[in-house]
Amino acid sequence: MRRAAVAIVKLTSCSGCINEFLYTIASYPELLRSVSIVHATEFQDLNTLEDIDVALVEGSVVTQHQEELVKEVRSRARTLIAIGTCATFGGIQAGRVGEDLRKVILASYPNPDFISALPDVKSLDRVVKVDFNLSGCPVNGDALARLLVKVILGGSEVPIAESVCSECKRVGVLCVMVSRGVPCLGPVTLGGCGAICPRFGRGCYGCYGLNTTVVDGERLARFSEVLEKVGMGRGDLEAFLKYFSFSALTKIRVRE
Amino acid sequence: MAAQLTKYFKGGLGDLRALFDAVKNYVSVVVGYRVSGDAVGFGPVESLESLPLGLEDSQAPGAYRLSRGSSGFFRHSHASPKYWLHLPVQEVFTVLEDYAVDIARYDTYSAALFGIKPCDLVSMEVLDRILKNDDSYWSRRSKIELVVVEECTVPGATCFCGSIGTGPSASTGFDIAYARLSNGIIFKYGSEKGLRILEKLELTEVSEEDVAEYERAIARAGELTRYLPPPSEISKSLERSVSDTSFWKEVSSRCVGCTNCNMVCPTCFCTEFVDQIEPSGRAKRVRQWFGCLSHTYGQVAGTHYRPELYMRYRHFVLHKFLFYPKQVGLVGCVGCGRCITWCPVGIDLREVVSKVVSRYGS
Ligand code: SF4
Ligand code: SF4
Ligand code: SF4
Ligand code: SF4
Ligand code: SF4
Repeated sequence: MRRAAVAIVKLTSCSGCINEFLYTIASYPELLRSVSIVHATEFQDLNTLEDIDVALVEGSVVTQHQEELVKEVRSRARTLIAIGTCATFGGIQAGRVGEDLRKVILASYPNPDFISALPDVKSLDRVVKVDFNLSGCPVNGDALARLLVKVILGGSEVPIAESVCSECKRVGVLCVMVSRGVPCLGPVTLGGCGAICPRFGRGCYGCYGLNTTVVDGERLARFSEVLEKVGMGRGDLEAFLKYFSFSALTKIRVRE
Repeated sequence: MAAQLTKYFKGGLGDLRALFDAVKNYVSVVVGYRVSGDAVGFGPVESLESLPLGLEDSQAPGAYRLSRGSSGFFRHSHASPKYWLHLPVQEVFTVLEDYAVDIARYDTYSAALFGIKPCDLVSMEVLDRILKNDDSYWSRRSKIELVVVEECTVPGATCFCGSIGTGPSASTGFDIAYARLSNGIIFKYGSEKGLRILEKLELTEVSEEDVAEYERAIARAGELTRYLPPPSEISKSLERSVSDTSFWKEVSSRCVGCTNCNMVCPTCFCTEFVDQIEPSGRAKRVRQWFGCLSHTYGQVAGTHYRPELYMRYRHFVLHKFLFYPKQVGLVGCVGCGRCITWCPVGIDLREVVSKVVSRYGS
């Protein structure tokens, strides 16, 4: 069988998802029998962007150059998978949207003139057609490997949209919010992580993104009252949602 | 009355321990509400110490707390026998690299359930009828050789078994039941097997007074859990409420579709298949609990049965009180109150059902 040409493309992001992919390759080296990595600027010297079977794109679009790059990738890739919460929702860097861009740049770079960033932070689906969205900060490497193998074999996948709570209960964790009053975003967050944080006794902070198949502005507003009762203020909630669910927020109407 | 008395025996904590040991000798594994760390799950229990006898739970809509104390009375946690009988995640088969299919084999060791609550006892009867053709469920269920029930003399604040008739005492489907009273433990048997085991313990005979006290305690607990009209009345009212869209939208307006209610419900049995293709070329088909409150549940090729959340919440309630009776001749809700306690936003099924009956009752 011809090995599938896979491109790993990085936009604005922390490389955590690409690392997850590398860990996955390390634990399943047989993956390299069916995959040939034609583009991965982070870990190989020879890179081409010609004929791509599957593009794995990490990061969100924050510059003009990235917008062009991702369109280019899309035009050459049969399948495009957005990996991680930056690519699917905007990611942590969306926290700067609405702030004075120059001040933000000055806070991080000594020489701001070399930086050209757009005021907005866009998830991939706002720029190109995305075939599969795999959120997570970072993405779940096993889930990524399975999806990749499925796609290479010509299969597809209907995403199961359920909350972190579904996973939490299947694992049998005692709910941190109901049993200890720890604020938890699990009920409104997309599952996929296996309820990692509640398994360690902590509340979920929503890193897989808002489950917009269920949660609209009204429900979110009502749920924020529940969180407030157990001690998560509006400010914290808004920050978490901005960091991990930015593009979803523009889709749902938030009641003030 | 004399014939009635022979049904009961009296003893203390030491006798409960002796009963546990007798049951343990009878089967390979004793299963029940298992204390692990600061939580209570459901699984194999080594000794009486692993049971939550010294714990007290307090429950309210959206709130649960466990505390320790010798006078404590434990009702239940999120975990019901469903965790043991109808596994949350279950491998169905594996397709090997050469496309040979390896069908999952199921455990076959004998087990006893110890200390389960009357509501959970009835939940197993409901699951039995629904899942009797399910190999995985049945392989575990058929190996349960003995059931010991702990009756509830002090019901919890979200319990409503008395409304459904599933508690606070056990009537059928068990071998032994016991009830903890202030001056001792009353044991009763529900089968010949149960009687034989009880006879081997050094229990004392009960006095008429003991029986009267036991019956008073159960009656009191029954009163405390009687919130709702009879299930037949609930079903009729629900049938009339189905097209009242605005009513169902209103009662589910705080729901976020998290499926906690489905997951903790001892009779919710729905599952979804997930195909996991490994990089080696092996593929596993896994079946896992799936709740009808989640969006994907009602989705089929080309359309969606219940695209809006209120439809899915309505379906949950209708299934319990209207459809289970049609499917298997039993009410699907056993009144355990778990969906109320473990709903993170505290939606109260009793309140919703009461509203339906007050609006649509005869
Ligand atoms: S701990 Fe969080 S994720 Fe788990 S059931 Fe509770 S609210 Fe849901
Ligand atoms: S529990 Fe929440 S915050 Fe933690 S890994 Fe999962 S989605 Fe992210
Ligand atoms: S519907 Fe609620 S109260 Fe009824 S059996 Fe299920 S979890 Fe218990
Ligand atoms: S209430 Fe929903 S999840 Fe539970 S058994 Fe019925 S359809 Fe399945
Ligand atoms: S547990 Fe509560 S919020 Fe979650 S799906 Fe059920 S009713 Fe809705």
